[in-house]
Parts: sequence; structure tokens; C-alpha cells
Amino acid sequence: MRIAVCVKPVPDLASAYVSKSRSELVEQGKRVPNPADENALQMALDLRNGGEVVAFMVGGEEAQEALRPILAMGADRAYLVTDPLAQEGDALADAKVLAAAIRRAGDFDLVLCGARSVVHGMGQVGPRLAEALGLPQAARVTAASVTGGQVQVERAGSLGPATIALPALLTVEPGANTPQLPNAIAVMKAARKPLESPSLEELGVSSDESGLAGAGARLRLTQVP
Amino acid sequence: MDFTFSEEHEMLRDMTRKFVEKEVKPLARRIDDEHAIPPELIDKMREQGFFGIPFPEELGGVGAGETGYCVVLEEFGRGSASLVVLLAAHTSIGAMALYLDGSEELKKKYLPAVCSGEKIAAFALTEQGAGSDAAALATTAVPDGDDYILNGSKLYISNGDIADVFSVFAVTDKALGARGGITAFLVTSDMPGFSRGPKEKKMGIRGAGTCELFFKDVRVPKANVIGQVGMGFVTAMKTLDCGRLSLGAACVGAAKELIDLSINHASQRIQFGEPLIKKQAIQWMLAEMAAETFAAESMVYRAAWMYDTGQKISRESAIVKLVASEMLDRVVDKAVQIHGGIGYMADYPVEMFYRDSRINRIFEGTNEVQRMVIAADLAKKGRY
Repeated sequence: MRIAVCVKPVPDLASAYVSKSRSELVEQGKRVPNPADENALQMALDLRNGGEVVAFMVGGEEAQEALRPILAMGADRAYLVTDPLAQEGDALADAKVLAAAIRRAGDFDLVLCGARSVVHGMGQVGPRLAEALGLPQAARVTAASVTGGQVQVERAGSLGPATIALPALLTVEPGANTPQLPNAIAVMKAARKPLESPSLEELGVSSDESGLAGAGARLRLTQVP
Repeated sequence: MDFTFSEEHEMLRDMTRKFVEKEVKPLARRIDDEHAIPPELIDKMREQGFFGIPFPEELGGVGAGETGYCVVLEEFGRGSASLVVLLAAHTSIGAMALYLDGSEELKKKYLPAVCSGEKIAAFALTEQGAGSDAAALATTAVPDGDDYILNGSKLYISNGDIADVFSVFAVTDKALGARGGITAFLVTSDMPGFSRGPKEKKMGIRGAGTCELFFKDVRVPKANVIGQVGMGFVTAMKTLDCGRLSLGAACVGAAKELIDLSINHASQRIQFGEPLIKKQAIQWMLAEMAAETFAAESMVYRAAWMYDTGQKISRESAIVKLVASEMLDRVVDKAVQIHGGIGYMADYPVEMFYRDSRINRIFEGTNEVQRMVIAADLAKKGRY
């Protein structure tokens, strides 16, 4: 099984806080992997059966600090799209960039995403990415097993079980499993694992469909209730 | 100048902090009450690779250097001083003597199992008549064919209850004393004639096993001599130079935890109609705690960086040990004061930190010995 896992860099909520006067999230400290994406990675590690697990991320140079822990946990290598024109996109634009990066990295049996992020929590990147890659998908997966070219999934809420053909995309529900802490040796080795940063040009994505320019939605105002 | 930790060290800190939160803090009081570390917790620490942090990968270690090791011990210092002692007695003195001065063969034979934690290490220098005066050893080692025959006893040995591998210091030439008369040996617990006394009952660090060791005609192969015959005192001093840094790091971790606990308590406890933290008396204590912790933290990592870049740190490590241990005693005293009654109660962690703190001014060389080391270096150099 060759598995792609998409990871979003998010503020460490243990040290970030919401400023009521400015109605915004004030970040302190570093960026971390989105928790549900860690669940997706853990599911990939449980399913890989000796196969390769490759992580994908869109973010600035500083996002590396949220990607290295994913390599420490067990991903074999990673793609981080740091191209300035790919930044500040929404789910639509990010899904296009991720799809291009995944295609460039070869064929995958499974693509896993966290079901939603702790930032906006819209849960759209996974489904949009499935559309962009032309894959069948199952959302809010809590458990998965693979037999004979198919993946059987349990899903959160009232969605119930499903069986879909591989290759497929799953979005993994937060808390679906317990991500294993990497050991100290894996931590040290993570810094030496391959990490590529392809440009948008290399990915064949035009600048008007990525980043802020490619976003379908505009955030006008946030307010603290 | 650059004070940033490497990506690896940041990740090591993050991993260790999560481990301490999840696996250590919930058990810290039980470890103290039962005077023992649960074997299943030691197993989990093995799985995480905590027993070989500073040693190179080719010897089975993690390769995180002294800085990485200080980061790990700082985070353990937030959770349980008993576990700090387990790790430090094993790594920074027990295994470090072997790593610094052992022959390649001896290192290859023992360090991989020590780094994986399969074998626990300890450092056996102190004796009944040789504490601060470490050169006044009475344990003897007499050559006999391919072996040395060890006789004597060692006192207050951390990890003495469970260790498999010991760096033992014995007299090989009484006339030469510290200058050429003391030799370091690697002794294993399965050597005939080796035995352990009962675990000591202690004020703090109660989970860490401290006991007496006995050597009765213990036959140690000459291949197990650590470094050169007669150079054991130098090995001991070099090893302790390094160990003192991680002791300082653990003190910094404990101090940060106490500050966090104190801020939390002072923010929630209402007296005279407002949280305690609004009172200047409390604010000043917190400010002093933070200032002292920052000072100790700064010197711990500067000294660790010096060590990792190959600089000599005898004076600096003595300063770190002296300052960090005395800092923690003052910080923990203020933490108890801020907490008031609940700080004195055994169902709250501050009381345990208070008892655990005190040993840091005594072991790995008393603070009086640290002052001697610092003053001797000043006198030798004739300047700062």
C-alpha cells in the first residue's frame, strides 16, 4: 500500500489565544500538524503494510516545523509547497495544489486527509481533493481496513459503514485513533528524511488557480461571539 | 550569536513533554509513595529511547548531544525527580564514564545495551569514608593474572537497586592516591561476589533506588578497566563535569513547572475579593521565581553548547550545578508559600517538589565542592 497523507500546519492551540478586542487568533510559539491529520497519518501507518507513506503540505518555510514531526512519526518523505503564490489559499485553491503535488509523486492506493482543521474546521479540502484527483471518497472515517482492492470504513455520525474501491480518498475523523509518539531516534532521523519543495511551475499549477488568487471564498471579517 | 534550538531538539522537547504529561505526571505521586518506579513505565521509557540520548548512533545512542540530553532532562524535571535520577545516574554518570574513557571494545560490548535501556547503568564512587573527599577511597583492586580482584563497598549509589552495569572506582596504588592510584572498572551485577544492600529510605527522590553495593573478591577482567590504570580519578571528575549540566537542566524544568503551578493557583484562589495574583506580595514572588529560572536556564544551555562544541567546562558546569540547585530550593520555597496550606499537603505536587529539590545541593558533588572547584579554577587562572 502506497499512501499519501495531507497535513495542514496550524497554530499550537496550547499557546494560542483569541483576542476579544481584535477578534482574531493570536499565535504564540510554533506551528504544529493539525490534530486530525495526525490521526490520518496514524491510520496510514497502520494500513501501509510495508508500503511507502508520503506527506504533503502547503505552507511557508516555517511550516516545516509542523511537517518534521510527521516524518518523525513515520512518514517516509514529504512534499512541502512553499511557493509564495500558493499561500493564503482556501480549500479550493489548496486542493488544486495538493492534487498536483500528489500526482507528481506517483500513484497512490489511498489518499488520507484529516476530516477538518482546528482553524476553520470547514472540512472541505478532503472532498475537493478527491474531486480534483478523480477519486471515490469516504468522509469522517473512524476506522478502515483494506482487503482485495477495496477499503472498508466506519464513519462518524449517522454515515455508517461503507466499502469503496481503491484508489480512494478518506477524510479521517479527529480522535479516530491515538497517534503514537515517535521515539527519540526517529525524532533525530526525521531531520534527514527527504523533503522536496516543488514550485508551482514544476507542479503545473497556474498562479491564478492557487493561493489567494485561486481562492473561491474571501474572509471579510471574523468576530468573537 | 544564536540561541535557537535545532529542529531536532525542539521535536525532542515536544515528544518528551507529551510523554511526561501522559505517562509520568499521573504516576509521579505513586512513584513517591511506593518508593519505586513501575517496571512498565521503565519499559515505555526504553521504547522512547530515553536511555541513550547523548551518545552517538553508532553505539546505539540517539545522537542528540549534551544539549539534547539537557532538553530531555529539563522536561522530565517537570514531572518526577525520581525519574530524573534514574535517567541521570544511568546516562550522565554511569554510562558517561564508559563512553568518555572506555576502550573501543568495551564501549562496543556494553554501550548498545545501555543505550537501549536493556541494561541500566550506575556510577559507584562514594564510600562511607569518601564523600566529598572522593580520593579517600578504601575499595581496592589487586591484579591477579588477567583479572583484578575487587574488595570493598560503595554507599548511596543511585540506581544501585536495579543497575546491571557499574562504573566502579577502586584503589590500585594506595601510595599514589588520586594522582595515579585510582582506577575505574566496569563491573556487572552478575559477577560473583557482587551484592546490593537494601534500598535506603529518603527525604525525596523516593522512587529512585539508592543502596549500598558490596564487592567481595569480585573478579573483574583487565579488559574491563575504563581508561588507563591509575587514571580513574580523572575519569570520575570528567564524568561529573558533564553530569552537572543535566542536573541543572532538571532543576530548570522543576522550577518552570512550579512557576506554572503557582500562576495557576494564584489566578484561581480568591482572597480579599480578588485572585491572589493581583496582590503585589504574590507578584513579586512570581517575578523573582521567573528571573532566577531564566538565569539558570540561560547558563545550562550555554554550558551545554560549550560542551557540544568541544570546549572545557569544569568551572562552568560547577557554576551551573551550584546556581541551578540553589535557585530551585528558593523557587520551590516560594511555590509552597504561594500555595499556602495546599502547598504543604501531600495530595498536591508542590510538597513533593519541595522534598525532591533538596538532594540537588548534595549529590553529584556537594555545593561546597562546587565552590571549591570554581575557586580552584579562579586561583589557577588568576582572573575571571
